[in-house]
Amino acid sequence: MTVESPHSTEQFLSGGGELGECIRATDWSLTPVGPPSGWPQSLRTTLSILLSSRFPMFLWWGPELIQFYNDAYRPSLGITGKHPHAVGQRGVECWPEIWPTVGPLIERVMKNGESFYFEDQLIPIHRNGGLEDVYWTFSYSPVRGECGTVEGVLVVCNETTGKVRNLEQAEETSRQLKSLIAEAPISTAVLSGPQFIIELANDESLKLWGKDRRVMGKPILEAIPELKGQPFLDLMTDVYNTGKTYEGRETVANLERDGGIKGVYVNFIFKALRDAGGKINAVLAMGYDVTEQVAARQQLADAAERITLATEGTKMATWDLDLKTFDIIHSPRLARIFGHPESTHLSFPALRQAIYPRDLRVVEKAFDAALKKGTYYYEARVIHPDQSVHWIQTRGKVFYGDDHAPLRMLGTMVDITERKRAERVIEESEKKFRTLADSMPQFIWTADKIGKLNYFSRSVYQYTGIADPKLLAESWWKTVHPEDRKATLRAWQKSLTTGTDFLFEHRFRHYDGSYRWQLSRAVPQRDVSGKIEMWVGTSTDIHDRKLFTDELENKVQLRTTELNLLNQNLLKSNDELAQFAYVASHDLQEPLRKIQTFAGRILDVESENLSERGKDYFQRMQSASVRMQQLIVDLLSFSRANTNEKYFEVTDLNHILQIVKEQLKDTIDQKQAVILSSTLPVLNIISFQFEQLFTNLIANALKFSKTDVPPLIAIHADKVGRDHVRHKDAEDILYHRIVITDNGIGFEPQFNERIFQVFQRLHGKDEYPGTGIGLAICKKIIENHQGFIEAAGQLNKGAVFTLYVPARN
Amino acid sequence: MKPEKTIFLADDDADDRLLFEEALREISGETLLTMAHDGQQLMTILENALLPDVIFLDLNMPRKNGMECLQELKQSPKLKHIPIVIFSTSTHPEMIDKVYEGGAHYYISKPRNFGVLKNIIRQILSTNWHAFPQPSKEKFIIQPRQR
Repeated sequence: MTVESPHSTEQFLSGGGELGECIRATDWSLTPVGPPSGWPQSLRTTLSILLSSRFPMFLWWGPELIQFYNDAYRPSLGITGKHPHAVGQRGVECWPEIWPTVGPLIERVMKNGESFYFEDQLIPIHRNGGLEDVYWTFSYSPVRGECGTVEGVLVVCNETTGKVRNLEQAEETSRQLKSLIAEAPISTAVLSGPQFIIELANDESLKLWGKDRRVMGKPILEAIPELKGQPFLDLMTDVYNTGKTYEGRETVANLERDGGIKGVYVNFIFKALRDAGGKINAVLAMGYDVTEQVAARQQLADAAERITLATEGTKMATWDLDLKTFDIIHSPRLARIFGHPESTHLSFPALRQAIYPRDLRVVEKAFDAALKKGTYYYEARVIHPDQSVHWIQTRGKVFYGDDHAPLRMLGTMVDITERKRAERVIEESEKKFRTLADSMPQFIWTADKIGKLNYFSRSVYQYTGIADPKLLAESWWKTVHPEDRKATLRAWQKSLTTGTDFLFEHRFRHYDGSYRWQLSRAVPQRDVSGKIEMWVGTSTDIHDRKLFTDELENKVQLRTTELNLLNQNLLKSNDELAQFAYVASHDLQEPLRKIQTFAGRILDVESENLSERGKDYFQRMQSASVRMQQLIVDLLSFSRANTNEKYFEVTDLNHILQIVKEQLKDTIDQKQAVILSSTLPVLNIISFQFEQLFTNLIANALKFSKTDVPPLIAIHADKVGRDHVRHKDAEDILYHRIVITDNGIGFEPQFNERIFQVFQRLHGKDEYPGTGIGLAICKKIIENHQGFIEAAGQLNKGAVFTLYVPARN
Repeated sequence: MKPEKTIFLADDDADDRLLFEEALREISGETLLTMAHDGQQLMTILENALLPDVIFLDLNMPRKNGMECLQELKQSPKLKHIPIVIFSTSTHPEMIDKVYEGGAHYYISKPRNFGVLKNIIRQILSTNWHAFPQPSKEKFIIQPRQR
C-alpha cells in the first residue's frame, strides 16, 4: 500500500492546524474509510468545515463511526489521554466509558436522521491522566451523503465545565447568603422586582412585620396591606429606581401587633441588589425594632418635662449652694420670690440680707442644723425691695464629700405668703368660735370623723368639774347617767355610721353629783366631696322643761285613762239604753195591753151596768192608753235610729215601697188614696230604716190629707249634682233625689225646718193624732245615710219632702 | 157534734191565762183546756196526759222558757207531731225567725183586744191539723192590727 501525502493529494484537508496535520498524517488506507482520494464529497465538505471551524467539532463517519475532530475540540481530550489516537479510531473503541450513553443516541441519528441538543451535560472523559467530570453543551446532527442517506454524525460542542463550575459556586454563595440572612439577628428580607415580591425573609423580618410564613412569595403590599399610605413603599421604589441606599432612623411604622395595628419605631436600610448584568432586580431590606429604646428615652424626657412643669406649676424655685465658696446657682424664679426680676442673679449674702431681721435667727439655726443633720428646712419672712413682707419656705439637702465634709446643698424655695394668710384667717375664725362657744350657757363640743370628742366649750368644764381637756375627752361618757349611757352610745354610733344628725335626750352629772336632763344635738360637717370631716354638737339643759313635759304627759295619761273609763261607761249606758228600749217595747207595753184589754172587756161585758158617763170615761182611758202605746213604739224607733245597729245592704227601694204600701193598705183603701211612683233606685242602705222612713212619710201624707179630696201621693226619683242639693254640707258628688209630693193640707213655709224636731207638732192631738217623733226619725235615718231631707210646704196646697242620698257604688 | 178538742196552754201570766180561758169558753164549751204556768210544768203534764190537738206556748216564762220547750218537743219522737202555736208579747224579728226554724206552726202576738183574741183562737181551733205542714213565713205570723 502506498502512502500518499495528504499535502499533495487532497486539497480539502489543507490547513486545520494540528489536527489538520494529524489527519493528513494518518494512513487512512488502514481504516474502513479508505484513502482520502476515495472519500465521498459529503465527507470532504464536512471535514473542510470541521477543520476550519473554531468551535469544537467532532465527526463520526460511516457505519464504523470513524472519528475526526478539530483543534478546538482537542483540549477536551486533555494533555495526555485519547489524543491523538482518537483520530481515525472507531467511536466504540475510543469512548468505552461513555458509550452506553452516547452509543444509542448516535445510532438514532444514523438510523433516523434525528438531531439532539444537550446543555451542560456531565460527560466524564479521560483527560490529563485521569477521569474528569466534564460538562458539555453539544448537538448531534446527521451528515447526509450524495444519495441522501445519513453517512455520519457531526458533533458540534462546547465544553461548559467552567460555566457550570461558576454556576455551582454562585449557588453555593447564594445558599450561604440565604442562611446568613435567615440567621441574621436583625430583620433582613430580599424583595424582588418592582412589585417587591418577598423572596427571602428571616424570622426577625416576620416578627417585625407581625406576619408569618404565609407572606412568602407575595408582593409586599399584599403581604403587609397596612403599609399602604406609609412612606416605606415609596422609599423602596426610589431605591429600586435609583440604586441609592436609604437609611431610616426611629421611623414610626404602623404594623400588626397582637391582632391590632400599632406604631413601632424602626431603624432600617433599603439597599438595591443587582443581577450579574448590574441591573437592579431586588431590594434588600434590613431593620430592627427600636420602640423600647425610643420609649425609654421618651420617658426620660417626660420625667424631665414633668419636673419642669411641677416646679413651674407650684411656683417653686430651685437652688444649688456651694458650701465651700458659698457660690449659689438658682432658678430665675428664686429672684422673683425675693421681689426681683427673673433675670437677676442673687448672691448668697444678698439673700441673707433680705431675710426679715427678726426671722434671721430662725434661718441661721436651720442652716446650722442642716450642716449637722443633712436636711434644711425653715419658714421665714423676707423683705422685698419695695419693702413688702413675704413668707418663704425652704427645703434643702446637704451633699458630703469623700472626707464627709459638707460640699454643697441643693434645695427648693416657695412663697407661702398666701398660705400663711389663710392660716391666720382660720386661726382667727377658730378663736372667734371658741370665744363664742365659751360665752354660751349651752355645751358646745366637736368630734373628729371617727366620733372621738376633741373639743368642749368652757361650760362643759364648769358643769362637770373636770378641768383637764384630755381627761374630759376620755371620760365625758362617764358623766352620762348610767341608765342613759348605753342608749346614748348606741345613738351616737348610729349617727356616726349613717351620717345622720345625732339627737338625744339624756342626763349629765353635775359636779355636785346631781343629774340634769340635756338635749344633745350634733350635725356632721362635710368636705366638698360630701365626706364627713367632723361633728359639731351642742347640749342644752332641758331639765325643767323635761320635768314639766313629763308631768304633762302624766296628766294626759291620767286624762286618757279617765276618758277611756268614761267612754266605757258611755258604751255601758248605751247598752243600758238599748236594754231600756227593749223593756219599753216589751215590758212597758204589757201592762198597757192589759189595761186596754180589760177596759175593752168592761165595755163589752159590763156595758149595761155603766152610765153613759162611765162608758165615756172608759173610752177616754182607752184612747189615752193607745196614744201611750204609740209613744212607746215611736220612741223605740227613734232610739233604734240612733244606735250603732247599721247593717247596710243593697236594697231595691221599689220593693221597700211595695211593703210599705201593703202595711198601710187599710188606710189607703179607706181614704181612697192614689200613690204614683217612678222607678226608684237600688241603694246600699240600712234596709229596715228606709222601710221606716217611707212608712213615716207616706203615713204622714195620708194623715194630713184634705177631708174632701182623696190623697194623691207622687214619688219621683232621679240623680242630681251638688248644685241641686240645697244643703251646705253637700259634697261634690252625685246624689239620688227622691221627691214625695202630696196634695194634703200642707203647712206654712216657716215650719220647713221645725217639723223635723222631736215632739214638734203643728196640729192639736185631737185634730191629727201623732207623737211628733215621726219626722225626727226620718231626719235621723237620712243622716245615717250621709244624706239630707228637706220639706217644703204651702198651707192647703200640699207638702213636698225631698230626700238626697249619695250615689255610691 | 164535733169530737172534743184538747188544747194545752203554757203561760206564766195569770191575766193572759184568764183572758184565754174566757175567750175559749165563749167560742166553744166542749174544748178541753189544760193550762201550765211555766214550761217545766207543761213538759211534766205532757209526760202522762193524752196528747193535745194543739199547744199554745208563751215564750218568756220562768224555769223553762218557750224556746226550750219547743226544742224539747220537736226532739221527742212522741211529741214532735203536736202543732205548736207561739203566743207571745214579743215582736222581735229574731225571735220569730228562731221559732219558725224551730218548727212552730203559728206565731201569735198577744192582742190588745178581746174580740181579736177570740177570732184567733177560733181560727186555730178550726184548723185541720192532719197533714197540715208548717205554713210559709208570711202566713206564719198572726199579728193583730194594732190600730
